[in-house]
Amino acid sequence: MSKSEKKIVLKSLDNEAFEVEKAVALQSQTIWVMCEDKCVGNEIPLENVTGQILAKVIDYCKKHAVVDGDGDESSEELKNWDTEFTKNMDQSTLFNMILAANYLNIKSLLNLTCQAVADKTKTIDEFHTFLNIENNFTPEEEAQICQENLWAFDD
Amino acid sequence: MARLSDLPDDLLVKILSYLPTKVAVSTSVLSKRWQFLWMWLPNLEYSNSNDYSSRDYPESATLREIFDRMRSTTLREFVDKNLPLHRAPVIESLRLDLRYRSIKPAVLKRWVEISVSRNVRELEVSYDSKSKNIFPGSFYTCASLVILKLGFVNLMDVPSTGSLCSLKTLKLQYLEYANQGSLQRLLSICPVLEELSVHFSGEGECVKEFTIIVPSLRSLSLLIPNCGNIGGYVIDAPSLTYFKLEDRYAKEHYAKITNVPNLREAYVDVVSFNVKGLIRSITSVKRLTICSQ
Repeated sequence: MSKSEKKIVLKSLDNEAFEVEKAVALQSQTIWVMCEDKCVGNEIPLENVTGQILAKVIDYCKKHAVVDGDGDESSEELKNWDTEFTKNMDQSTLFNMILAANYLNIKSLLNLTCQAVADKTKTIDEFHTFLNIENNFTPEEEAQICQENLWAFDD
Repeated sequence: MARLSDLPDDLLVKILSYLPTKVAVSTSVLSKRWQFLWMWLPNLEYSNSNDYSSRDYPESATLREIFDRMRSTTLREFVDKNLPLHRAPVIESLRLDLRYRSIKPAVLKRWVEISVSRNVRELEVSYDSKSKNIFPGSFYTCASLVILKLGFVNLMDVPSTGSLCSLKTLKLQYLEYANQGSLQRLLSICPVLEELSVHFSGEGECVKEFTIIVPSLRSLSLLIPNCGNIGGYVIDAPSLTYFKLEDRYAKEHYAKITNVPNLREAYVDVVSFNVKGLIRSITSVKRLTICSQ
């Protein structure tokens, strides 16, 4: 296989181009299907992902491609890397990563990012604060839901 | 800037699935969109254990008792009302840790039955069933069950016509076996079982002799405490690669391990019997740890 065939170009929503190893990109089921589809060629447009997010997704895929490939790194180290990877992401970035992982169909990244949101929000108050959800219940409705689901609120 | 409301419902449910069930349910008060989202959770975990570390509990034992009973009742009412209405088409996992405070066996049986009807893949039940049966007939033919972990429950009336045809992992901790053949009968209806762990409680044990003959078994962990009345046991597992034996029973008994040509790793912690004889029967082993007196 020639060098050019091993590489692939991913183009983001805002027209940023990333040249990556095929083995790295193919962790995305979506890209895998696109590559199978012969008419696409070597450049793959990803219309739902910005360059800023795509760069992070590629970082993740590179890390995981290496490990899956030669098995040199311990799963422990990979786990630590994953934790560091999501640790300092702000809310907006995390949501965008979830959407990107879902669109690109990268299961492990989707699990990791959903887990990261959950880890930041262990209690209901944290959930409110972190997710910034606007409550559209009347106080009476809210009280009734609490009563119906008393088990979840009895602490 | 992405907001949480940009995510579709299935992704919100996925986030919820990483939270403790209790927190996930409490999101029902967040907003109208969230009110019923938790009902799509694929994994459910209910426990009535008292977690003293995380909250201020009254010093008085009587008050604690009242609190615990109320909490247990609240839990039963909640699960009883919501489990039949649960919206997820498949329950990936259901964990019931109900060791504290009595919930009636008939109630447990109902919950197990519902999970079976929802194609449960992983079921974990820790519950002292006090010599009552908590498994409905449908449980023993549950084709979706892959992982089963039981603690303290009573195992009785296992039908020989049952078939847990997908069960790969089985963990039995401190079960009460209704009769001598209960364990064997259960094993005989698990044709693809790969991982088995059995910890006997020793208390009021009616299992005196047992035989583990499972052709598909790869990993076996066995714990026999120094009480009860064990006569001996036979293990015949041609696919076994890992074997952990902790046999603390001090009285004379036999341990016959035959037909384990693929055994690679063994951990043996025994007190009473002839270790040499045991090692002779596991000659294929590549890595062996022995703790013996």
